[in-house]
Amino acid sequence: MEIIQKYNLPKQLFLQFPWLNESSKVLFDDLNISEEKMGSISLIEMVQFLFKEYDELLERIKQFFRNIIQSKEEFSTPTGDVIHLAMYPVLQIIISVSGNRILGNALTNTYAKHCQLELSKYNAKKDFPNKILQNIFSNLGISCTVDEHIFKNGIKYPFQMDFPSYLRVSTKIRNDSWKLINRYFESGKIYLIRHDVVLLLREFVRQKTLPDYRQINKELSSQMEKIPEITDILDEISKMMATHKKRFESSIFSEGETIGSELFPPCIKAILYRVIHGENLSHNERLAIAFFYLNTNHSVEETVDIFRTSPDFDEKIARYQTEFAAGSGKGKKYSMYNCVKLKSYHICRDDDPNFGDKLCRDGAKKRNGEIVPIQNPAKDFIFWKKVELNRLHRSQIVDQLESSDESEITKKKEEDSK
Amino acid sequence: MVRHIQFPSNKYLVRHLITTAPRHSYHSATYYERPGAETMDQKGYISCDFVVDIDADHIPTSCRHNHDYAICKACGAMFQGEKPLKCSECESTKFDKISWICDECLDVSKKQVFNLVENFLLKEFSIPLEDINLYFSGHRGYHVHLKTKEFLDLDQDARREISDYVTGEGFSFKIWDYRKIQNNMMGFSIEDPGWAGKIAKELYNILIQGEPRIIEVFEKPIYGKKLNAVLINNLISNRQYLINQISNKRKIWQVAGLSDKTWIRIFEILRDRIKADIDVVVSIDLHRLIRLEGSLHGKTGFKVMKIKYEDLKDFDPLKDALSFPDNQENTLDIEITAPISPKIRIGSTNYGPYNKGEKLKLPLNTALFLLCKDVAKLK
Repeated sequence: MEIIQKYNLPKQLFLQFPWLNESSKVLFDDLNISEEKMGSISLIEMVQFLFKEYDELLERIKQFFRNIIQSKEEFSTPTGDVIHLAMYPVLQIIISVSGNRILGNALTNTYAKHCQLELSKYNAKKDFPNKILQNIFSNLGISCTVDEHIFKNGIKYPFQMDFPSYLRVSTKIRNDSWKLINRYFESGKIYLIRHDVVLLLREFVRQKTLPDYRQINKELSSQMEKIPEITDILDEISKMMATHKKRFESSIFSEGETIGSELFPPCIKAILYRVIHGENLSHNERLAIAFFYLNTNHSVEETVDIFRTSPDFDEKIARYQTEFAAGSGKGKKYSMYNCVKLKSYHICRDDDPNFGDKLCRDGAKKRNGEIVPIQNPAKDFIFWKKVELNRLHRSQIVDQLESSDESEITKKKEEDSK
Repeated sequence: MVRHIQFPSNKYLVRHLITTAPRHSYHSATYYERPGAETMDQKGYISCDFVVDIDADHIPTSCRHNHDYAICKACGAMFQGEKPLKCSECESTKFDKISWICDECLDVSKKQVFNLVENFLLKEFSIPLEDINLYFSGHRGYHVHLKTKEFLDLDQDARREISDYVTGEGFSFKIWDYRKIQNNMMGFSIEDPGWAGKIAKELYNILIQGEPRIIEVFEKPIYGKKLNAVLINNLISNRQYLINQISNKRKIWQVAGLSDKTWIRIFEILRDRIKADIDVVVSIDLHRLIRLEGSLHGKTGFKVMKIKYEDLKDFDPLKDALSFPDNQENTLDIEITAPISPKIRIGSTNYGPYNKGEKLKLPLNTALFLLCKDVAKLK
């Protein structure tokens, strides 16, 4: 097995995981391009060169987009060869040029899931020891060391990750067991088992593979679009997206990044904001948003529409589950989670600086000064938000009246002085 | 309020402060590519200090019942302590507040800083002491700034996790094996890392201090409902058994009469004693404004100042953060305008309480404090 000495990782791993740092060197080695020449090649030249060198590249990229547009987040083409490696930068460029966040998130999900699947295979075969994982983390600049002799309460915890690295991704897996407070945490390190580490790596890959939409400027973008293969791919993407219009042009989000009605509570606004960007939601987040919609006079169709931008959207499943939650047929309609439950699921965003709302945080104030806590986002919140907006509206009218009074008084004064 | 100002150097900042003399001065804890841009989107976020705010205002203290007042805006009736729902004289719901400070509330903040730094930042997060920057806020508390690369790059979710950790939020009893097994209540071991171990140690420390301490802790919890007297007695009568179990690192804490729910309440009371009582919103905010070091706090006239951690024990805000030398000769004539001006120690002298209309000649720092507190005017 050929080993890339600098990272002590087998070459095969670079071919499988093109998101590894320095994987481009493996690609350039295959293309017989020296390190000095690497720096002098422009992005345009590189893309043209890759299409010229690898005949199969165009078809593989098209297949990749066919899959993700149909919500199949998996590779149906070989994943351990140099063409797989060459696909990665081209995919990144195409998605950056398209500027489509939903496609971008689908790409990150595909690479993240692929990594998890492959490393789980290694786990079963025991081909790759824990040290390999340590070296992968090291390649990504993450401090995660291995000590095979650490046991806690009789369980072996071979991995130790520093807390800033851990927090970068553990917070994206919304589950109590990933909270720092529920982990073995000592001297700035979190003690982990292999299964944990594979899941964390999956999240790191999700972050690492997220296209940088700002990197491709307008000029570069228009040059890229002149490359025949890129034009061909972009055309095909447009056609495919047109056949899946509902996913890419969800009725709720037609106005850019509008995140819902002003009556929506912060927890719901935060979930909508994430789903509009094609981010994966946790199970409880999906239920919370569906229950909220169904309990605020939205139809099943409107509720299903929310999930269309979700990377793993499957209309059949989404519709079945939404209808079930809506109590279609003889079933019972599910009511909205209350605030206590939302807090326990870490969905509550009452003090979030972007979405937070004083009403959720401090409760509503009655006329007699009594404070009423918000207990349910679909009932109390909407009711009190309406009250709050009404009060605001009235105070604005009073202000307007007062200011018009003031202007009249000043007018009269001016007239008198004349 | 003037915001979004950028200064090319300290010289320009100082000149601005001299010419405008703002009552409060803040700087952003965030680093931007274009800090002077008008909107947040245009500023270009780079990174943000991790700031912890510890303020007696957020911590329940008994002294506020002695020195805080609410004055009814409609009829002028005065109420000591917390603001009532409505005025008992005229039923109005609008009040002016007089929020005061004293040695007790300043000490509570200081203790929480020690708790945060010793038990969390140094011990568990392993942050070197030299990376911990400590400031007196100029009023009732302290700010801890962590400016190292690893903190600067944390996103909001990660900051919330750290805040949750130091405040004990989200601790899962289930994940930490707290459960009933064949009628045996499983507790925690003092050898457990993190919060499970902290809870076991805190319970042990309370139990070994004897009955009066147990009653004090569970009858007057910092937050929430007290424990029923019968349940406290149950705990007392099983005190020795629990001490033995915990000291022998046994996890079975079976006590007849204490249900799962009672144990969880006991753990919550213990958690509130262990946690660092911080203002979580400040720590998770990526666009926070923080008081400018070296400026004067507009509600006290005290200096916002950096303190070395080793000097914190002896730091006396009512003496060491005064803006002017503690000179009894240098005085100012003022008149009390509020219905009451509670007692305050400035330097080593106690002043007040004063009543409305009193005309006084007071040393500069004291006069400044009363003026900043809006209870007096210049005569």
